[in-house]
Amino acid sequence: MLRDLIGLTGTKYGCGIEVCGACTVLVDGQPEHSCVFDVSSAVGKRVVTIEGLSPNRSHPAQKAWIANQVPQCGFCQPGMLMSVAGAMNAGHHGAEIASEVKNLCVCGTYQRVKQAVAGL
Amino acid sequence: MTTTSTLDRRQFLGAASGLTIGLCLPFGAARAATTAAVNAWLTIGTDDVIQLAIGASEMGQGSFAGLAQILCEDLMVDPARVKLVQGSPSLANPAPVGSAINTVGSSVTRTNFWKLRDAGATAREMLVSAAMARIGDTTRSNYTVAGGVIRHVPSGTTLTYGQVAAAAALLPVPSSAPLVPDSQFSCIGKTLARSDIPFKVDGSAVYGLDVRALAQASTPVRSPPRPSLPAQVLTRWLSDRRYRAADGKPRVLVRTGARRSFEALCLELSSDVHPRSVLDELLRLGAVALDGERVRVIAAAFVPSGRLDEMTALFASSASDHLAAAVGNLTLNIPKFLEQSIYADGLTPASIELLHDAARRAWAVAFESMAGQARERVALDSAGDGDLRMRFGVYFFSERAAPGPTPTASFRTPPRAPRRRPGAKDKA
Repeated sequence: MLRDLIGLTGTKYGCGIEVCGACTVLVDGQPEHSCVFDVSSAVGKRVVTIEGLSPNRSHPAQKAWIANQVPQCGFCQPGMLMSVAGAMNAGHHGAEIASEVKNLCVCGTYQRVKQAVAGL
Repeated sequence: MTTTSTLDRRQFLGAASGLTIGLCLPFGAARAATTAAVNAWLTIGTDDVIQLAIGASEMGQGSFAGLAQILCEDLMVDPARVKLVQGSPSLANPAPVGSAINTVGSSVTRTNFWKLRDAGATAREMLVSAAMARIGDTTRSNYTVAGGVIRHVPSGTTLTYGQVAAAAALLPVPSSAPLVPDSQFSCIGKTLARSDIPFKVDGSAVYGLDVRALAQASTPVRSPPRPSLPAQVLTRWLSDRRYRAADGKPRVLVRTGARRSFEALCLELSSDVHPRSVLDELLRLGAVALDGERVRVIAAAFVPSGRLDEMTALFASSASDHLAAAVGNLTLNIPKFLEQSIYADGLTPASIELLHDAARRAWAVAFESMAGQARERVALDSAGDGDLRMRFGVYFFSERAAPGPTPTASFRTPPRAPRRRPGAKDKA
């Protein structure tokens, strides 16, 4: 729906079984795996994808990602950032965020992710 | 200390958009470097956009940022200004591009370090030469370069690379351009921000998953026009190591056969035209001779004297266009290309020296006029979608003439030569 019909391709399709987290978006501020999230469940709710996180890469998480040069190939990073943004919405900081974000990164950028969220 | 190095394989193009240098970077297997395949293009646009198109992949390892850093050390611009295009060069060419597209074990950086440094230095010196011609002071030490801006110190005049890119495209490629000494490095060795990161934090980076089927694309891919097949065959014969003997001269080839034959050479370039037709055309032009089953290049002017591959590549590209013009004039029912020369014999070495000097001065006049007008046209056409290129050049050649019955000096123009001023030799 997001990618093929609306054309917002920033959100990635990874495993399709709610494991990898590449498809994470915010639904009413909460991170959700869009690959298994029914459209009917989103009716009347505010859905934010990576494209809508900020108009100019100014979200604190995006700034931290650039400052720490986090992404390698970058495929998982939109989902990673949306998970981090969700944790921040819930009022969490630093290591709390790191413990909540379960997104998988095949490049293995976890060390830089930890560094980046440490300052959030 | 001044370090210099030379690119051993390089083709040079005057692209409509500015200065373009083609490189053969040895990606992947070492054997790839033994062919004359061009797999990277450095373009300095008249709009000051600098692009490096490379047949390698960047998967976030930062190798492209590293390549930009290496290039920019000697090109003397901010690496952030270089636009890197991956996958394939932006200009089509007859050779296969990046047969193995990969980035493994730091190989892209390790194997291309000197090539890129030399490409940067070469482009820089060509741009400075164009600026020197524009400003009218040819003392190199009167110029400084920083941030892609050339400054004439005595007058304070500055020119950007983009302003002289079109003129630089018309200059010969220097054989060796000085590299920045290690002690003065401003890019290499520094940790710079990767240019791909911003696009990877806002979802705008494009992955294979994000691309619709190419079949849905409405615009067909267009290739620029190529030289005629006989010209391409001759060019490869003269420039490709496989078809040259140890002394650098083109090998005598057997007419047919699967390997290192004239037929195989033709089929490398096209299977649409029968090799026999190509041979007939080259025989008709007097470029090759057929001795029984063996084909050899005969025209002395086609045999490069220098051993440098770089000379050969420049020569091949120039000769290819000259030959294409001649073939066009002979065979095509279109307005003729300019193709004129004058001839004189019975001359002493002193006269030859004097005439050579006169030819250089004639070129300087022609260069000033043509480079200026070409620059204007490039600027005017830059908004459109023109896809034509042109080459204008001058040559001068002398040798001991074959002994003849009349030792007296003579001068003549070819029978079909129109009105012309003496002293100018040109080709189009």
